[in-house]
Order: sequence, then structure tokens, then C-alpha cells
Amino acid sequence: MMPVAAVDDWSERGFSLTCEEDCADLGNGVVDDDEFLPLYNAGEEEEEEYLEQLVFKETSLCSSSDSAADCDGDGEGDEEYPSLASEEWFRQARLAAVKWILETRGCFGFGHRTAYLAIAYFDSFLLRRRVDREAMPWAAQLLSVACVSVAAKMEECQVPALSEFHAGGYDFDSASIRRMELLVLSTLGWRMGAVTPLDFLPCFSSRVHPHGGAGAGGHVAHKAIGFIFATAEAGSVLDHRPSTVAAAAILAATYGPLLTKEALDSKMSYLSPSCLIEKEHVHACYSMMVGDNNRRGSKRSLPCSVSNEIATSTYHSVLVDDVTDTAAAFATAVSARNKRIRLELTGIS
Amino acid sequence: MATIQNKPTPTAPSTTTGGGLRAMDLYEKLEKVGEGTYGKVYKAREKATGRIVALKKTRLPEDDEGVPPTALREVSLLRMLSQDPHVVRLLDLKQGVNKEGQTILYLVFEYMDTDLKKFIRGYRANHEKIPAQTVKILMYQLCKGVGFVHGRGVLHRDLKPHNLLMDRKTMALKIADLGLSRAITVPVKKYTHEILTLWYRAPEVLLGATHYSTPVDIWSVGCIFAELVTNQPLFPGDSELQQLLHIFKLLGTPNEEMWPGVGKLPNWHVYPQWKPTKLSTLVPGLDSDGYDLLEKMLAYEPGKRVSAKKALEHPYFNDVNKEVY
Repeated sequence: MMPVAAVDDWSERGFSLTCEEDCADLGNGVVDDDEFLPLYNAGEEEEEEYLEQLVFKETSLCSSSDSAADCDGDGEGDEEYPSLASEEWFRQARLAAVKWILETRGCFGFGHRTAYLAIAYFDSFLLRRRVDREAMPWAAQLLSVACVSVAAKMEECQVPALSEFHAGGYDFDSASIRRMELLVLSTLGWRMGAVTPLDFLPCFSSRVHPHGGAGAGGHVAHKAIGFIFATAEAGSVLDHRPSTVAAAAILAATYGPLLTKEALDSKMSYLSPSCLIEKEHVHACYSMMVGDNNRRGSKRSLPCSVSNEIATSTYHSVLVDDVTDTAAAFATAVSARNKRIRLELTGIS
Repeated sequence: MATIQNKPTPTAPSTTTGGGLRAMDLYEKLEKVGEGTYGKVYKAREKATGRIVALKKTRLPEDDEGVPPTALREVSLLRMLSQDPHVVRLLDLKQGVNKEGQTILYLVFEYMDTDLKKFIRGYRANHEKIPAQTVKILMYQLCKGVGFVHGRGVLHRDLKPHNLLMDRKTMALKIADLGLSRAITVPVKKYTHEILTLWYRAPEVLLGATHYSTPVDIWSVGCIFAELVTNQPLFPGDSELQQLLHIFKLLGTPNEEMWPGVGKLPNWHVYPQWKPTKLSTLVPGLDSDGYDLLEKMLAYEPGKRVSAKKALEHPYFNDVNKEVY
């Protein structure tokens, strides 16, 4: 049984794109330097091999989709719904879910990777199953709880019991959460071991600061984590490959907003000598990360025009052969005792 | 009773949601053959094709845990690893409900007729040694499978003879039971301490290290290597302390010179100062290349332990026909 830490007032510390530099520590206060000190020092050759493995894994997960063309952002697979990323109500519900995930990460002391995975599961699920506007608030919350629980089981040594999760404003019982967990798992084909941008940070930060020692690399990595989660709040984590997000975040954390496209291309040759990562994509992601930081007082959410540019998915889970009817699936995921929720099931299609 | 087996045809795993009865209707259970980390395992026949499979059944309890982490990790990691010939193939996943309304998961695996534990025990019962060339091809396949698993960023963490499935006819060996496996990330992150089966547990884990990585699996491989040669477990301790003392008595008590940092591990104490025994005394029956490889697998300092990939290049395997395995 894991004790629950006191909950801070997170609404005043949301990770919006307008956050200042000191927001980058994600409200932890204490920097967990241990996280960035590899026990076994890999040589350069091994490090390059590790990077290649990661990129291969993220690519192979992408290509294992039935709609391989989507990996290039050419269009949507036939089973995908029209993107909801531009709908304000969808973005608000998603933002609330992401904030809850980050808050819950803080409460239980989970690693950053757990939070990122939970967000990735959330986005991947909603790429597959459509939820109408009316059902979105409670469905997104139940989905968030299930995604955090599954991510914790994949990543953490100690996993909370389902009853320890407190979904803001809703009281889901353990059986409902468990059924939702199973729905998430079957929807994503039980492929839960995703690559995240965080996996690339130690290699990238050591390349940007080859002689800076653990201290300098750790500091940059923490700022990069802030950029990664700010980007995750702004839009689907499926919009860019993890390697692209990681490279952009490291460059933004190291050099700030001033890199020209030519300068970024030059920096990329240090980060990724094997040219495994697309420079154009990194530049687009970098511009998004640093652009809104420069606009004081800008809206928390991305402007619609920017959303449209990044809405095309380049990375998503394998299709499930026999997706069951979504309404029925949700119906089994929710306790029969909860009458109000039952009435809203017509909102899911 | 021997059953004629069809070679399983690899098919892409699919997730099927349906009644538990439907799953039972698809397969005829022939016999219970064992227990995995979290569930019973049955030999079964697929009615539609006659194919023999292994069904691993797990009941999801109506409790506060939800989907068990062991099931979740095994399925997720097998989805990533099953393409390698040295990892047991997950053919399908059936999710259903039994008569009592409980959710049941059936993992459908290719069937392998024995495991390394039974194989070794058979030789021991006959007071025979496993032929040297057989030891070598089994070890080659084990290193290849572990190399693949590590190459995909996964720690097995419970390598032992029982989890290494075999086909007696072909001498094929496959890694199974990934219920305690873990995806590796850099930086190395904290892992649960008491996780590996005791006899095959690496010294850094016994000494309380929570930051460990692929070398813990290599230590297990080394213990299995020795056991294949002698038919006896190399370090059969019955408690954590006894396990450590067993290792130190045979390999010598480690010190800061041979293992820098050992004194800072949480469970380090003052231990009796034993001197190492020669491997040729501990594990009689290997040639010099074999002893060299075994020594590299059982190096105290994790960073100095040979990797699975490097082990495959070791001279000990020079006369293995590498195109066959």
C-alpha cells in the first residue's frame, strides 16, 4: 500500500505552453538526479546502437499498423475517425485529462515515463474509438484512470490499488476501472511497451554536453522534460515521433528560441549522426515548442491553424481485428449501478 | 503417450473478445502441463485445425488490482518479441467470461514438449552427462535468444531451466515466461529487489542493488551453463543470505579491487574471506574455451560480464553450425 502524498493546488501550476523557465521542473521541487546517472557507462558505439534500436522500435510499431501510409502523414486509415483535434470541446476534455494524469503522477511519485505512457495510451485509444461531445467529460476521466493504472503496471515497482485513484468529480468503482483497463488493452492490441521521447534524452543530452558531466546534462534534460510535457498538453502525442519530440526538446532546452533552421540542421548532425531523425520534422516541432513561449499572454491552447497543421497522425497502434461495438464495450466498462452514466451511453458511437 | 505434432503455423496474434465457452469450444484440453508465473498451463488441441498448442489460463480476480501486471507485461512484451525463433511464439489471445462471470484470459502459445529442467533431470536420473555438443547447441540458442531479447530492450529477470522450453526431436530451445520481464530504459531505473528465482539470481541483486540491467540475465545464463555440464545447480541456496554465501564460498568473496563499489551496496556486510575455487573443479567436463566463456558470464562486476551478443562470437561456439540455429 502506497501512501498518497498531499495534493498541491495544481491548477495554479498547470503546464501550459506559456510557462516560464522554472516551470520546467514539473512542480516536483526536488530534481531526481539519480534518474540521469546510468549505472553502466555505455561507449559511443553502444550508444549509437541503442539509439538505432529505439528508432527501429518506434518505426516498427508505426509500420505494424495496417495503415502503413499514415506513418508518413499522408492521410488517415480507413478505420480512423475524422480528427477531433480541432474541436474545442475535445481539446478541453483532453487537456483536463492530461492535467489529471500529471497531477496523479505527482501524488503517487510515478516516473515521468509512466505519465507520458498514460497520455500516449489515451491518445491512441481515442484515435480508435470515437466519443461524442456529451459523453466526453466522464468517459475521458474513466479512460484517464485506466491509462494511468496500465502505465503504472508496465513501469512502476509498486502499483496502487484501483480504489486509490481519485478521479476528480467522479466515483468510478474498481470493477468499472478494471473493465476499462481491459477495453484499453484490447483496443491497443495489448501493445503497451511504447517508445517515449524520454528514452532518447540521456543520449541526446550527453551529446549536447559531452564534457559537461552529469550536472549539466541533467539540468538540460529536466528543461527538456518540461518542453515534452508542454507539447503533450497542447496536442496528441501521436502527432510527432518520440525521437523527433526528444530532439526538438533538447535543442529548445539547450539553445532556447533563437535557432535558425540552418543552425538547427547543424545541431542535428551532433544529435543524430546516422541521420535517423528527420530534420524538417524536428524543426516543425521545435518551432512549436519555442514559438508560443515567445508570445506572452497567448492562449493556453494552440491556435486552430496550428492545430490543423499538426493534427495528422504519424504514429499509432496496430489495428485490432474485431473491435466490438463501442457503446456496448463502454456499457460493460461502467457499473450498472451508475444510472446517470448509463443514460449518457447514447453519446458514444 | 506420444502425440504426433504438426509444426505450428505462425499466425499474427489477434485479440478476441467472446464468451469463455467460446474459447473452450475452440480447444480441447488434453492435460495440465504446468504453472507459469501467474496461471495454469494446458496442452490442448485446436479443434478446427488439429494443431497442438499450449494454453496459459489466467482468471482476472474481482479485486482492487485490476489487470495483473505480470499478465500485462508478458503479453505486451511477447507482442514485441514473438517473431524471434528463440522466444516462444504467442499465437493468440482470447478474452472471455466464465460461468461465474469472471474474466478469463487464455494465452495461446506454440506447444513445446519439454523444458530444460525436465531435460536435465532425465539425464541425472540415468546418471548420464549431457553430451558436450548438445550442451553447446543449447547454449548457443540460449545466448542467441537472450541477445535478441536484450537487443529489443527487454530484461527477462527469471531465466532458469524451467522457463526454457525445448523440443526433444529438434533440440530447439525457446525462452518463455516473460511475466517478470521488464523493458529496459536508459537511464537504468529502479527495479523491484526480490524478483529473480534464488539459484539463478545475480550477486548485485542479492546485495540489494535496485539499479541493474542486462548482466543479471547473463549471470543466470552462466548458472544454467554450469548446470547443463554437471546436471546439478551451481549455487543452490535456500535463502538470500545462503545464496550469497554459496556464491562467495565457490567463487571467492568479492572485494573492492575485483568489484569496485561492491562495499556500497545496501546488503553488503563483512563476510568470511573465502578464496576462489577453480571453475574446472566446480564444473568438471568443459574444455578451455568453455571455461573462458563461463568465467566471463560469472564475472562479479556486472559491467565486466560478457554480453549475450559477444558470447555468440566466443571461440567456444566456433564449431556450431550457425546457419541451423
